[in-house]
Formats: sequence, structure tokens, C-alpha cells
Amino acid sequence: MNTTQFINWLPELLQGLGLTVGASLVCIATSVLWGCLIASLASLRNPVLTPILRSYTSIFRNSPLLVQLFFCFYGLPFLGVNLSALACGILAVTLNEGAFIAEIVRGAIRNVPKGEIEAAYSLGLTRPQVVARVIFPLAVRASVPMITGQASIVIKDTSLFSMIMILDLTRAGDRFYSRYFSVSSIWIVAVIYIALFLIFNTAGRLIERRVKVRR
Amino acid sequence: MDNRNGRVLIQFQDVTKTYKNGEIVVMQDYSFDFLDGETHVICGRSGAGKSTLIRCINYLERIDSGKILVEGVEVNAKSARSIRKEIAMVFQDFNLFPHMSVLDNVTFGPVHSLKADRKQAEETGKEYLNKVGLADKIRAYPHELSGGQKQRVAIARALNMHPDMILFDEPTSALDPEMVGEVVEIMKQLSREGMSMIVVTHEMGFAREAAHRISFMENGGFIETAGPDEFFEHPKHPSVAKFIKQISYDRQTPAAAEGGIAHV
Repeated sequence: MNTTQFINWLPELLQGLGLTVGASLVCIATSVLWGCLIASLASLRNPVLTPILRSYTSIFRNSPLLVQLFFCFYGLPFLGVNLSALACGILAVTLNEGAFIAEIVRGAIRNVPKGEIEAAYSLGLTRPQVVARVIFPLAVRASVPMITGQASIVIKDTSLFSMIMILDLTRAGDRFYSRYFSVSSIWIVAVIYIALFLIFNTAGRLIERRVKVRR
Repeated sequence: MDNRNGRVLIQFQDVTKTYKNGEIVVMQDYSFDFLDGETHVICGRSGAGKSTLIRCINYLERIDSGKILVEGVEVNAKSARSIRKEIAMVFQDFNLFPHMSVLDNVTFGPVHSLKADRKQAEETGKEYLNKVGLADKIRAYPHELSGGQKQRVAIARALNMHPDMILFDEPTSALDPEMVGEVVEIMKQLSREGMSMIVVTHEMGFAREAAHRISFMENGGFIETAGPDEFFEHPKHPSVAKFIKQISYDRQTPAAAEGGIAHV
């Protein structure tokens, strides 16, 4: 890689970086919200809803994200749903990571001390109130470390966007390679991913420290 | 001071409660009336079912057969919530909400369950926190408090529900010995003020001083119920006599224990 090559490539790299960061932030937000929603709905123990949600998390956790991505991108148009490539990507990652986060939160919900739940019931609260105001806040706080871990996986997930014609960081690296047959761009991309990971991780740890429940 | 007016607040009618498909019997055709304004202490050996008994009153546990009436209303899944709004509970392990400040813990029930005005709930909440000596802790979080302080917050939380009765489930058992006193003092005060209370406790000092009646639970029911003097000085049932003798050995100097009377 020489300077001219790099300068020619730089706009693509920045565009790809912007997309990866932006899409990651959006996907983390949607995945966390979706996962929390699924977990709290599942904890209502509705005999119809809960098995459906269980099947959903099981299917999306146990099939490859790339397959899910292809399904959204190539499959949905056949069902009459036409989304942009980026929307398909965000949808696939949200469904996939949301399923993982739902499992994390579900585990944390099970670990909320029984006594604290009983105390809420003993005050005359309804089950939805107990879920929304005691179980759920405690479970989410307890699962923040694992959720931030999952969030850094989301950054890596978005590299699959390059498979559906989106110019993300990975594709930017790939473009340079196909133009100049030089792998140095891949190294640069890898280092940027690691830097992003470190930044997100630090942010996660700061959040963790703020919301941690001390007993 | 006797604030009892003879009105029955809670009535057990032929209640049977078992665990593990009848293997463990907690209550067997058990009937009893708990009175309004009464401080009723339940004691007995661990595993006798004392906690289970009071947890059936607010439907934290279900009974197998029979009836429990709270102010004439049968306790069941349907009535549970309205009964819980009237009967507060203080737990052995405090069970404060760790993600809420002390004041939020105390206003949580009134605001979300009784749909009380938040300002007003905070007002009364502060009064009750002041009453339990924690006016300076309203902004603190549970993890910043000692066990005794936590239990006092839990009592303020119960009081702020303006309950007709408070159930105490071994309120001092999880406390370090030096903190038992501060909690017991508040319970004594509540008793003097006429609060209806059922207290499951091993704290015989409280029983002797504050209880109107003391019951000893064994084999699926109360084998003895008496006023404190009668209970401690002239227990009728051999099991009770043995129990009192034991606790007096545990807690008293050998000289006092020799007299066979528990000065606890």
C-alpha cells in the first residue's frame, strides 16, 4: 500500500467505518430492547406466549446469523416484504442478538432473589407490576456485564453486512484488496475493529459500574 | 397495655397445609382466631411451620383445605391482593428493594399498590422513617445500611401501607446480636400503640414484655396458647415446659436457670 492508494481508498474506509459504527450502535440498541422485551414477556408465564417465545429464541440462537441475514435479504421479498439492505441487516442482527440477550435476561430474571419478589407481592402489587418494577430492573442491572459482552459481538456481526452489498468496514477492506491485490487493508480493518471493541468495552464497563446493584 | 377489643381479625378454620404431597404436615385441621389490636407471638422449634402459618394469611403460601378469613374475607387467589393491601409483612431477610433508595422503598407500596399520591406517601413515609429513627437515611440505599437499619426500614415500609395488621416473620433472626434491640424496641412501641401483630420470633424478651398471648406451635397446630405470665411460669404442655427450660439455659446464667423460670 502506498500513499496514493491509501488516499484514494480513504473515503471508502471512512464511509465503511461510519456505517459499521452507526449500524452497531443501532443494532445494540434494538437488540437490547428486543431481547429485554422478549424476556419480560416470557416471564409473564402466559401459556400461549411463552412457548412461542421459547421457540423463537431457540431457532435464532441455533442457526447461523449469515443464514438469517440471507433469509431477510433474499427471502423476505418473496413474502412481499421489501426492505433496504441495511434494514435487512439490522433486522437480522436484532432478531439474532435479541434472542441471545433474551436468554441472558431470562437467566438473570430467574436469579432475582425470591424474597425481594415476595416483598413486592406482599405489598399488594400485581404480577405485571412486580415484573416491571422489581424483577425486570434487577435482572437487567444484573445482566449488564453479559449484555455488554454480547454488544461487542454485535460489532463483529455487522461485518456480515458486507455479504449483502453494504459498504461497511469489512467491505471497504475487501474493496481495496480487490483493486490492488494487497492485504494491508485487511490488517488496517482488523486493527480498527479491535479499537472499536476496546472503546465499546470501556463504555460498557462504565455503564456497568453505574447500574450495578449492591446488596 | 391491652388494646384488644375482642374483634376477630384473622380466623383459621380447619386449615390443613402439607408439603411434599402430605409427607410434611404443617397444619392439621387447625383453627384459631387472631384478634384485633393483639400482639400475638408464635414460638416453637424450627421446622414447626410458624413461618408457613403466617405466610398463608397473605397468600404467599396456599393451604390444602379449610379456610382462612381476614376480616371475614376468605383468602384465595382472587382476594390475595386486597388482603395484602391490608396486612403488611416484615421478613426475616428484610427483602428491601436494592435498586431503590430508602424513601422509595417506603413509598413503593402506597404509590403502586394503593395508588396513593406520591407526595403524600413521601410525607407519611418520612414520618415513619423518623419513627424508626432513620430520618437521616432517606436518600441512602439498602446496601449502605446495617442489618438493624434495614429491618427498621422494612418496618417503616410496612407501616406506610397503613395496614390493619403486620405479620413479622422472624424479624430479628438474621440480625447480629447487637442490633436485635433496636428492632425489638420499635416492635414493642407498635404493640403499645395497638397495632395488631402476629410475630413469629425466638425473641422471648419481646414475647414476655409485649405479647398479649403466646402460642407454641407443634404437630400441626398450637399446643398451648396463654398470656406471657402463664406461658412462662406455668406452661401446661410438657413440650412447652421443656422449650422454656432450654431457652432459659441458653440465655440465662446457670443460677437463674436452676429456678426453672425463664427471666428472659
